[in-house]
Amino acid sequence: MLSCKDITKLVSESLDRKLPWWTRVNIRMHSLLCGVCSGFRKDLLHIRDESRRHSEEFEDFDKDVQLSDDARNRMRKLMESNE
Amino acid sequence: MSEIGESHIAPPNPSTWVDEYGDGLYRYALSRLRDGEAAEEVVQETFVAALRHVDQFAGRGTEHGWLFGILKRKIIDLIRARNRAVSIEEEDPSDALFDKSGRWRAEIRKAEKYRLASLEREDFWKAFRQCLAGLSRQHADVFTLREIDDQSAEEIGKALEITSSNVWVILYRARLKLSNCMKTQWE
Repeated sequence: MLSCKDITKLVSESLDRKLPWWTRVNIRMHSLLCGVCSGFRKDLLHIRDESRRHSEEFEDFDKDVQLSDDARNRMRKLMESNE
Repeated sequence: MSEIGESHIAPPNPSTWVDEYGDGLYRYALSRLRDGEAAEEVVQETFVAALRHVDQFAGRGTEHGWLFGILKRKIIDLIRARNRAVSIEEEDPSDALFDKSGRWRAEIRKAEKYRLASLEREDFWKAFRQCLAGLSRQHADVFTLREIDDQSAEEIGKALEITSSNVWVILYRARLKLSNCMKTQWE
């Protein structure tokens, strides 16, 4: 009998590699009976889905951030001296 | 006549790069590296490398795409360097979540009412970035490469010089901690 800890590990791995069919059946059966594990799986799928479809939001989180004046001036000088 | 097609492609203009692309490159680097100093470093290296190889640009694609391509390689180089000599992090959140027999702990079961899918998009990403910052550096680096940049476990293993099964373990621990953290942000 696989524990919730075992199942969550397999759920995670199923997002990174193809698992054997009997392992996938095991995950399904367990998830039917265990709300916490099936919730964990839904959360991971949601993270995957959002990350792939809206990764621009990941960068937009810093949309007000800019290079510091120091860094900007240093880089400008570097570009001029190299030209 | 044959030159007409090329004549509208502006030659690269390095003197405008810092002002035109600096902030965008910096934000991208910051999102991947979560470290302002390291982000400045890779942006500077990107400009220097671009200047050195400016003759190779030759109007293929846009300046923007070309510079971001260089930046992405510099980011991977830096991630590899800063994770080199780091053994696989022992940090394992599963003891806090599961009891000895591998069952979810009672307090986790009780708190089990939020689904991440019910978060507004803005709140989701805020929680995502905040909780990512709470992971160990190695875990956050691997997780970002996998989920945001869609690299396979094999590619990540190659880049970081670790095995695929190590990548799977890191991803499992990162996901446990991150999803639990995100759910508890607004309790």
